[in-house]
Amino acid sequence: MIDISHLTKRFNDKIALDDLTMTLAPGEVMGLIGQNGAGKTTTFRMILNFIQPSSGTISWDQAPISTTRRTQIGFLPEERGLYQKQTIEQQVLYFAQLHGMSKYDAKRKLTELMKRLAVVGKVTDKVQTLSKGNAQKIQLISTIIFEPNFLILDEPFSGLDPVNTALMMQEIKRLQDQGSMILFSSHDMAGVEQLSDQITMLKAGRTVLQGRPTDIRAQFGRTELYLEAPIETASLAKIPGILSIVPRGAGRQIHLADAKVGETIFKLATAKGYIPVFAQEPPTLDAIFREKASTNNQGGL
Amino acid sequence: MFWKQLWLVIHHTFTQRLKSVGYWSLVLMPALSVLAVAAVFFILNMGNQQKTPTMTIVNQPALSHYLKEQKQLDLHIKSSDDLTATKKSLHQEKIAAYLTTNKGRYQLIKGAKTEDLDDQHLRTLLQDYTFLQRATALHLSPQQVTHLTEPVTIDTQVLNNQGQAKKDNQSANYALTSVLAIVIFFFLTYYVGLIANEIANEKSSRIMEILLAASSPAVQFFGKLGGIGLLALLHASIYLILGSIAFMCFPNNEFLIRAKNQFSNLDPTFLIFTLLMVLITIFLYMVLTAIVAAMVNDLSQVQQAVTPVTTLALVSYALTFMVNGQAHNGLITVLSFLPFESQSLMPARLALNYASPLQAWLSLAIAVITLVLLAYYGLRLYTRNVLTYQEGNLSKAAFATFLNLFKKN
Repeated sequence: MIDISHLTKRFNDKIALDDLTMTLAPGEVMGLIGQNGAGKTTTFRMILNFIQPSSGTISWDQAPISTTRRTQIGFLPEERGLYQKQTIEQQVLYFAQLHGMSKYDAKRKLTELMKRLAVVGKVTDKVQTLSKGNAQKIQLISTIIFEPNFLILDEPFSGLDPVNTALMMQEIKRLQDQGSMILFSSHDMAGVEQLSDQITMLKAGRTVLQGRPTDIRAQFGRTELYLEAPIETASLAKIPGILSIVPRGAGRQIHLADAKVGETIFKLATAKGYIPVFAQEPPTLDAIFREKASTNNQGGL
Repeated sequence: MFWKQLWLVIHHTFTQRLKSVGYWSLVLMPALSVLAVAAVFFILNMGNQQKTPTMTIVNQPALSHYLKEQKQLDLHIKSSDDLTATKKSLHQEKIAAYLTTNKGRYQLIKGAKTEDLDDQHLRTLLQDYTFLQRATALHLSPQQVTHLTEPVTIDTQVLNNQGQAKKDNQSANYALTSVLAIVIFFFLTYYVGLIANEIANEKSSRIMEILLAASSPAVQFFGKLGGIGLLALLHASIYLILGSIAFMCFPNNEFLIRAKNQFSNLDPTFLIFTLLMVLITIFLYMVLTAIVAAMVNDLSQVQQAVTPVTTLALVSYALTFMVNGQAHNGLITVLSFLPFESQSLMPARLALNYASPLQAWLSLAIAVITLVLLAYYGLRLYTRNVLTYQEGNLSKAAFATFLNLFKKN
């Protein structure tokens, strides 16, 4: 289990991360969200021992992360880097061996992963000859080939097309099922919600949200309503507690001040009988993220 | 785990560069250049042999016989007693020149298209011939002539610090130093660039983050130095092997014989000291370069970063050729004790007996201590900078870095 306790990092008088506490159990996925500069990468860098915390602790099974333990961490940096003039095999094997894997096992695993991730090309191809998508897959293979116990992914879906995003998610799920602890950052809220068991939202270094995505959404109540019904917008607007009505597709998206207002709308909309859609849900993670980010926000998303 | 990872980084750095065309171009370029120059000389000699000029000696059969016997002139010597026919031959360019004598004076007549006729040698031989003729006229015996012309001999002895005679190996030692100064500068220029590019490439492409996630900065720092150090060692070994092959294959080559004679008097202690000094200095420069390269943000800054390092090496290189005759030069004396400059200055001063062996070993000890300290504090700087991307120019970053040298993270 990874325990991060009261982690703080100051750069001179600027606080990059302020009192972050989180735990990550085996087989659990933690999504770290926040605007650029919120402290996500700083958190990763402290876990990886690239920089030292100003205060707080990071432990793995109640002990500081040792050099040996560090070889069990797979890290995918935000800005991807590969040796352009080397072959796929040369560099993946080098990275795998640095993580303590034998050359023989790495070779076997590389072939398996290339097949599973549908990489076009041979192991003897130089990276500079690969397409962007295939190079990204090789980067992922380099990160996961040794089946890491702890996986840190900094913006893993950045720049990926939908097919590669799905493949990446599939691999993350597979590692999760095997018991790996996974910590990742992303701006793709749909992806975060889909993958994460828990999320932590940082804003200017401070933790503003933490918990299971369903619980977090539930905290905000079922204040989002999508309605497809033969009723005038003007009639809806007269109902107290409606904050906004926005046309969306064949219907309207209604933002409520209180979930109970939904009952009034339902009665009005179904007064004449059948309606195609009445969906009352908590706000999406994306909406919550936007709302939290814009509260006292001094920068843009 | 440290040693296993260290070996992996050394192996990876070494093998990747070993497979590159750039490395082999550099290693083989001097050898190929020597071969190319030798080929050009060979072709020119072939051409010259086909066109060895002819010189006719008119009405002097004894002189003609003497010149032929000496075999020192690069000329065909012909004898003739017909001046008119000889002049005609010169006009028709059948001969390159003719030589006549008149009342003890020689007259050399060359054709319009005749180039150098080895005039200097000819003048010396005529001088000798005239001397012999005059000696004969004075009825001197061959023994008396030999005695007259016998060169004086000078026995040179060099005394060591205890006042005892020792072998005169000053010129051999200084020659080695001069050769090494060139070799060291050549090696440093290339390997400083290589290590800087290696680190800057991994840093700018963010591969360093992946490497440091799995290993420690010490593994990467010393692994890179080890890998590049092995390449330099292989490079030097290849030249030693090629040199040995050349000595075995061309034992009668004039240049090789001269080189062998030049270095046969080398003092073994001097050789060991100099090689140790070179080795330590190469590592010093590599460590310094690794520290500097960790500060660059991208490959475009590599040249800017390594220029001060190569300039340091250039100072020592240039001053080494000025040591002779500068026994009391204060600047050279001080620099010969300073690491990064002592590598050829101290061996040069030692070779010329301007420095004592004790002073030489002291300069080596200073270099070793500097290397240890530089490696220790250098690792700190490397760790601090290798994942830091500074804005602004490199000089400011370097200044800030060195100010924080003794601070812990």
